[in-house]
Amino acid sequence: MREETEKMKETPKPKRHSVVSNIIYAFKPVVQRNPSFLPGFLFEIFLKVAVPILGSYASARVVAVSSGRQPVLTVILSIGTIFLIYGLVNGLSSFFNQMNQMRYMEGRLAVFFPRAMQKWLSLSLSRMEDHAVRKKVEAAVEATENNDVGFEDLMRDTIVFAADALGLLVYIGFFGFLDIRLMLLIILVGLATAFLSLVTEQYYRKAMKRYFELYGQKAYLDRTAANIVAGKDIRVFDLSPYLSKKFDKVTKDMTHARGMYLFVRFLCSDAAGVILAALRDLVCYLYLIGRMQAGMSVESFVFYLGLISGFAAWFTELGGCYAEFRIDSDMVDSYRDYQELKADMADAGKVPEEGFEKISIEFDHVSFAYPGMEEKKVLDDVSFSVSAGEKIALVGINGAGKSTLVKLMSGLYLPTSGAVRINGIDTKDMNRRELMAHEAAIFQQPYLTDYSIGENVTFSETYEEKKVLDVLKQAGLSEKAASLPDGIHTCLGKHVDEAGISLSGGEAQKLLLARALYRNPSLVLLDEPTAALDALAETAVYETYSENMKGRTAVFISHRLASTKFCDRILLLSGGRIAEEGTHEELMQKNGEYAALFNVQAKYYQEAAEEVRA
Amino acid sequence: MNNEKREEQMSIREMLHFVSFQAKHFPQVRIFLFLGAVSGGITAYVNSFLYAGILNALLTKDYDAAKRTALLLVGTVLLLGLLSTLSKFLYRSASLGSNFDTKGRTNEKSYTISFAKLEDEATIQKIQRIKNGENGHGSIPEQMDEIYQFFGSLVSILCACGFLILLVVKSDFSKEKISAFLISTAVLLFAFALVLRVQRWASKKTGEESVAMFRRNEKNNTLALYLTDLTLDEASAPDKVLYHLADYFGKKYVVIEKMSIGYGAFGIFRGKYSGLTTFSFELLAGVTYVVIALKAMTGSVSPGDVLMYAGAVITMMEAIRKASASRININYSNEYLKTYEEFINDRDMDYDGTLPVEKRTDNEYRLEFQNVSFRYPGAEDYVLKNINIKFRIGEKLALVGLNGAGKTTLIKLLLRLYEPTEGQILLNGIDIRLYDYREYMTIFGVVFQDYQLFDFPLDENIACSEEPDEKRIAEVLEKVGLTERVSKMKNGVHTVLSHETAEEGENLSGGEAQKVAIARALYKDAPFVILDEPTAALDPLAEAEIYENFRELAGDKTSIYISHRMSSCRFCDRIIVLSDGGIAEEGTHEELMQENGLYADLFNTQAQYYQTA
Repeated sequence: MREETEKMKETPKPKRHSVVSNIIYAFKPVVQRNPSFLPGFLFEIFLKVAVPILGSYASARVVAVSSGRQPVLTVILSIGTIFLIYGLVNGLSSFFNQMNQMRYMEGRLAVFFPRAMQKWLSLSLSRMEDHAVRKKVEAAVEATENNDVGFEDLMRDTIVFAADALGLLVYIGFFGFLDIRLMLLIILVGLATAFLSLVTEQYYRKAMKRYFELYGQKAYLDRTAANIVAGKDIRVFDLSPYLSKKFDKVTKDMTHARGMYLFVRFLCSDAAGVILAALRDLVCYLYLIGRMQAGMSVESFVFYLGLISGFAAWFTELGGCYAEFRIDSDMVDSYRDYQELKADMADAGKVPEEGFEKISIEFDHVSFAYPGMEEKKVLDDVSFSVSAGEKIALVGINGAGKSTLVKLMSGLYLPTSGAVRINGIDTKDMNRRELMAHEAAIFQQPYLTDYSIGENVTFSETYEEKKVLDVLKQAGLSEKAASLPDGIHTCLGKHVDEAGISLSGGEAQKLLLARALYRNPSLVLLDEPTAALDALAETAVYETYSENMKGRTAVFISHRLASTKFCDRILLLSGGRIAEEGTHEELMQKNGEYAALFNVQAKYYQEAAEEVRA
Repeated sequence: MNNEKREEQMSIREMLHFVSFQAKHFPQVRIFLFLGAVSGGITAYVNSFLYAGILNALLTKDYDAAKRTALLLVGTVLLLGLLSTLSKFLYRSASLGSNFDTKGRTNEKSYTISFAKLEDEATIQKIQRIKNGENGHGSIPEQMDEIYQFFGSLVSILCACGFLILLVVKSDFSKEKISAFLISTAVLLFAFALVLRVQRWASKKTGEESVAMFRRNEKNNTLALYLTDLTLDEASAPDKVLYHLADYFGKKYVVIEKMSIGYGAFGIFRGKYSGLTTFSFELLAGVTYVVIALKAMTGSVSPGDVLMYAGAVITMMEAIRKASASRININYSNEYLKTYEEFINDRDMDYDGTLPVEKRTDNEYRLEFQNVSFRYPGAEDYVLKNINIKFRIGEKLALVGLNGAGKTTLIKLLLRLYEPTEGQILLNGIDIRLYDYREYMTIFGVVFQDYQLFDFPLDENIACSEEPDEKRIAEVLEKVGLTERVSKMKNGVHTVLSHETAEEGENLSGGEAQKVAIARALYKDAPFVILDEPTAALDPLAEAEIYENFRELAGDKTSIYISHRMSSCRFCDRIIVLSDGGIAEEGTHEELMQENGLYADLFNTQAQYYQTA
């Protein structure tokens, strides 16, 4: 099974589904999750239609009763009963409306939002790092983020639309006797209003496109302001005026875009709507008065006038809904497009017969370039092999491609050409997830979440405490953990628990080591594990890794060439290739690039030592 | 958090003040509000009044009068409608951008408050609450709309009162009818009061529960936002894939589900009260119609006017209901706004010094720690105890020690990111707290261990401004060895760093980024340079370059160098060894090696690997 990293072309538009298709897509999982929601939605629709009809009828009755001559009791009873019923119906309508408003929100949050997140986590690394994919996830998240647009709004508008449509049908039944020309006029005006709504919303999308483009920048600035770590640099370098200026620029543009939208809405939608309504009302009044001249009763006059205004209101609302449908539907399209992304992360695939207890690696003429930057090969025809249990040091100057090489070794990336074989199987055909379960890595930036120490070590909510304590001891962190009131259940950082603590750089590194030990991996990848540690701690770490990594394949990237002493073999990466290969002694003998690097570092220690001895 | 205060209702004056505040550049906003409220509020009554006229004309079969009145009605409603929509548009436009204004100022505030405050949970909570408010019900455009609606409702209520007075005045005051009149009025008032009570009770309950619910969900909200950031964070993508965190995080999303169920339950809760209110409302409408219909039957009121008067009462009730609802929403939003105001008006620092720092061209800035002890807010143990250091001008000072010895803390104190718990830090003999903070910071150029670069052009990152000095940038890039790398970038020195927000952005490797951070510190050309592990991510060659050039880089500036690489001490004039919060050893490299103490131990431990046989 070949799963190649596809090159994402210039952000193609997401596939367009029909509004109906998206509505079903939105409602189906929500109703499946809570079947009891469905009757609630249906009731809202029916009640919404019933209320105005009853209302019109009630007003008409009141007028009839008051122009007649009936005993007081009858008056009280007849009007009283009508309004009792009307009250019940209206009350229920209110109830269902309020309840459903929140249910749309519940659906959005419980179904679509987590799914978007989970999809993200299922992607391969290349996908995650792909800029175009990133845009997709942002668009998808937008559809699930708030009440006004996206899934929630789509659901809400569907119910409104359904109620309006039903109401219109019912009313048309009532209108049976009215002049067809009047009906046509009303419908025409309704259509005109709806059309204007559509125009307005189309403009909205154009204007807001710019708005949402800028939104990402604004969001970044907001995140920066909340970034405590950045706070130090911001104060030292007086970045406040600079960042504020950026913010003002971005928001000024956003405000302008929104302002244009408001204006268009006022003109095309609101003002035009008022004018069209006046036109319609005038014609209706004159027509009905004419009918009265021909003998219709006052009661009918009131009733039909009520119906007409109800009809008109529904038509307008319908039009508004329809216009919004397209916007929301577009967002759902983005969401669906995102969900349909191929993860590229092989869950199925070959697994070596002997499993991954031991890992050997072979690079066979491997080349690699990042998607979208094919001209710049990071690695160019690299070939070497690592036997199981070997300790390899990967050295080279910055930008040589060491991190990329390590990602290829681990199966996080797939080569652009050539093959990377683990235990003889090409990673392209392999069940990489299974492979990674036997790996542990400490990348350049230490990854810690705000959850508990235990969870940070195990990446699981349930674990054996004893095992965690053991690895913490090995990593040299048990004293620290013991000193905390909640021990390994203490949270790091403040987001999850206000009482969360923060670890120093060195402590963090030790936790990462504990994590690696807990995982009991066959392949260990260490990218600068001692960068933040003092000399004594550093030695301790090398020695610990050396002890604990017996039998495991390990790859060290470290600038401190001293660490290479713990390794069996050294690979020097330069110009996208393995320039030198061998043991420390061999390479020193060779007196090539490696020797140069080593001496440059050693010089300060040797000079000093010599000076002291002198 | 003092929650009791929050129950206060926003007074009308406060609302007007708020409106003016949000539309600072448009003092006419109050006029728009007034016009909009009036035109919106009276429309229903004008409609009712003229409609009654039509009905009365129809009942007396005066069809021409009916048509004329219809024309008048449509025309008036049209004019009022146009006025109303225009006013609303202008009103909304006036407050456009105020939402951003608030956010901008919140962001700004978080830059200027003391660092200690920034790290404090209470502040984090406040900022979070303001952020939540921006998205949810507390957002300013919504708040403005609610106020608009509220005033519209007020006008409506006033009109209705006018109608009722009219009704009373029109009533027949003859003897037989007076008792009927009194009874009917009494019944109406009673029903009115009852429904008002019900409504008030219902909205209070809902309001309380609303606030309580949002408080409950605040925690979940924060968690949800955190989870989102955690999931989408770019830098940790390799870890997320390698450790297959999908399952682990998947369980965390349960918190979001809980939150959503909470919302659902609230919907039902609110629905019940809303339904009850509506029901009682319609009953009142029924009573009103009965009373007025009876009046019509006894001849006090013409049948055409029945709908008008009854309509007036109903509209008034509706307006009262809307006004109460608006009030609740405004209050709820008010809470967020009060949080915002509290935050903005909070003191930046405990010691707001005002002294400027004298600009000296000779770099003669004497800094001194006098008996400084420090422990973090809320911590029991002292991180630094009785530190005494005199920084000699032009000196290259190395600060070494084991992890957790307090090196970075010392720097943070020097930079006034925290205040010493005891003792003082002096600049040219004066306590640094007396200096204006921004002035004080101008004398430092720093590379933190966890420095941050921003998603903006490279040259702007280095210069920390939108107008970088090109020549100086080139110089500084040369000094850190980045000239070649930069020449290969998409837009050269104007390339935006990182992909996150710009298509043309470029990611730098760890080492390259570190060089940029050093360049930034150099560009500032401050008399005091602090470097905290500046070569941690650099390869040996790049590191050597920095070392070689360090004397040149630092010039005659006073510098502090923190590093775990003992080799860096070689080019420093003096070394201070911190241990257990205090100064353990002090001296030159040679002196300390002779002493054979902690320093010698650290040095030899590293050096051993570099000894050739």
